[in-house]
Amino acid sequence: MLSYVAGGNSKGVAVLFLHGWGGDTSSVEPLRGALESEYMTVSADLYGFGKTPHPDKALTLNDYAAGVKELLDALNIPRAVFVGHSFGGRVAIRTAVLYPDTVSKLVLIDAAGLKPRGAAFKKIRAKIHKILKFFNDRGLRGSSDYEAAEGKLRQTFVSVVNEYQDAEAAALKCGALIVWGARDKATPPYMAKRFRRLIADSELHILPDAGHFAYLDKLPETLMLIKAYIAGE
Amino acid sequence: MINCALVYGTDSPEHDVSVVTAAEIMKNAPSRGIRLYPLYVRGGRWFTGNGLADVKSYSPFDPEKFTEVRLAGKTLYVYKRKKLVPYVVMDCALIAAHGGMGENGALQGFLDVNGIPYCSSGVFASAVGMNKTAAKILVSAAGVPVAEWFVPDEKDPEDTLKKAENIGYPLIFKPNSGGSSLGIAVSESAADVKAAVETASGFGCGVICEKYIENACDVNVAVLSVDGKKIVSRPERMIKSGKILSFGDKYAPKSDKVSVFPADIPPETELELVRLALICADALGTEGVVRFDFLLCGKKILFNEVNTVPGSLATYLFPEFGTTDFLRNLIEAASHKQLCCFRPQFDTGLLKLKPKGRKKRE
Repeated sequence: MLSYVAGGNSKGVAVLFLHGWGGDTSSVEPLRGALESEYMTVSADLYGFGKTPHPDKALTLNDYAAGVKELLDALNIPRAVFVGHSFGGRVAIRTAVLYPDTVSKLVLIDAAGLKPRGAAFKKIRAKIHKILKFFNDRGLRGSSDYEAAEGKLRQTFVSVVNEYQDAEAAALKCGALIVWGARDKATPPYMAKRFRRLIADSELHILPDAGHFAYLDKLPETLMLIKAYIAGE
Repeated sequence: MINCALVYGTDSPEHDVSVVTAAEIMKNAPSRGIRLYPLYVRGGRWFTGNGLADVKSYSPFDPEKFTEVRLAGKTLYVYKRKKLVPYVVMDCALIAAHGGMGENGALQGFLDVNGIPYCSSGVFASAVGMNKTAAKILVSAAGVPVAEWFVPDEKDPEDTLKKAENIGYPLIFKPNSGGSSLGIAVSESAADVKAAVETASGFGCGVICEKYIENACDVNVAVLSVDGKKIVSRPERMIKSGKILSFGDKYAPKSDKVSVFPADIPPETELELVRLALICADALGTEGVVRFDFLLCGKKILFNEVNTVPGSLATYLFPEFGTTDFLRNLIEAASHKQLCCFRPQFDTGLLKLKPKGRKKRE
């Protein structure tokens, strides 16, 4: 099972935090800690990060979603507000699609998952990579996350980033609060705007002077937005 | 859902302290069933926006980045293309404005007129609490001891010196309605009285002079009055670096500790403090959370001053509640509060009389 950090008011609404790629529970701790006084807060180490080991096979997004569901069942939480940052946003969206009863509300912070612009160019780049790899066994350099991942986690990374969740986002029924950094380079704000268009009943807040970790750059603002969203009818 | 306005800022010497308090409140704001709208008052203009939660937004403050609003009646209006559009109806207000207009009853009166209940003391208690002389007179009339004091006449230095001799040096000069230890000066002898009066009078609200109590320590107690019940916090003892508790000691301390909480004082002294604090609260008719500052010299306890809008709303003095629940209690109590505004309940018939029927007063 996923390793987790939980705390707070056990009678309150449950809020689950999912960290980004390369992060762990400590990355979302500023958010979780601040909401602890009112809500039942849980943050999980996803497979391959923090204290949760990566299983000995490549994983897909479905496995991550199943892991999250398993954790919530073990904690006896039937429904929760999902707060996902970057890769955590991918997992949250997939969980909301596979287990719609589990996700009551969704908060996406600089979330990944949408098909990036220039995907055609990336396909060509992948072809070049394969050809080069045939000759020198190395190919082109991947993204920093790809280079940092090792073994099975790298295979997982490849499988995860090649899933585009545009159609899933359009099918979401729980609505969403979308919080984005205006200076986000990893998942640029055009993705936020597309999420806003795709997800029914969603609201978008682009925070100026914030990057991919918008919730750390603008912590008080993000907290205000999340609190108002969770409390709102 | 309770819509609560968090009103803070205002043009006061303690503006920055107010911003820090408000940011802390926003961070710990309760959200279940309560929606907090920050309203930042600056130069007569009111602003809102989520960016206000960040202390960095204030230095420098850029009005363009925030939404300008107006409060009229209970409704908050937003400026859209230079037109006012109704935005939300406020159920109550939480005042986090220290000093000046925010604490002296002006803001309280404004909210009263608009019919918005708020979580702190009313116009009278605020006005009296802000004025050190008035507070001392009221509190000492209720039987709480205060240090010997007088109001120096700025135009008559001779008279000031004479009164100073009567009480005896050292003396402490304070602005009559300041706060956060700004403008306070200690005078050791007749030579520096003039300078001390000038320092204190710089705030333009009169000066009060008190006997400086040697080796006294500052002890604060907060009183929470909610729904007619009063809860007194445990006392905290302030740590001062010099002769007096300075602005720096309170907000930018050199050591990690600003105060000792709960204060290291004997239980019987603590009981006496609680008794005096309750008398003070009754004498002034405070509501919500207020902090009374006492001077402790051996077994003698002297009332020093009252803060009707204490820094951080004195939430740290009630650790048993937790900040979020503490704020929730305050806000919920305020939203139930019935404003005792006057409504004509019987028909005097005066308005129906024709002009000639009205009796002229000779």
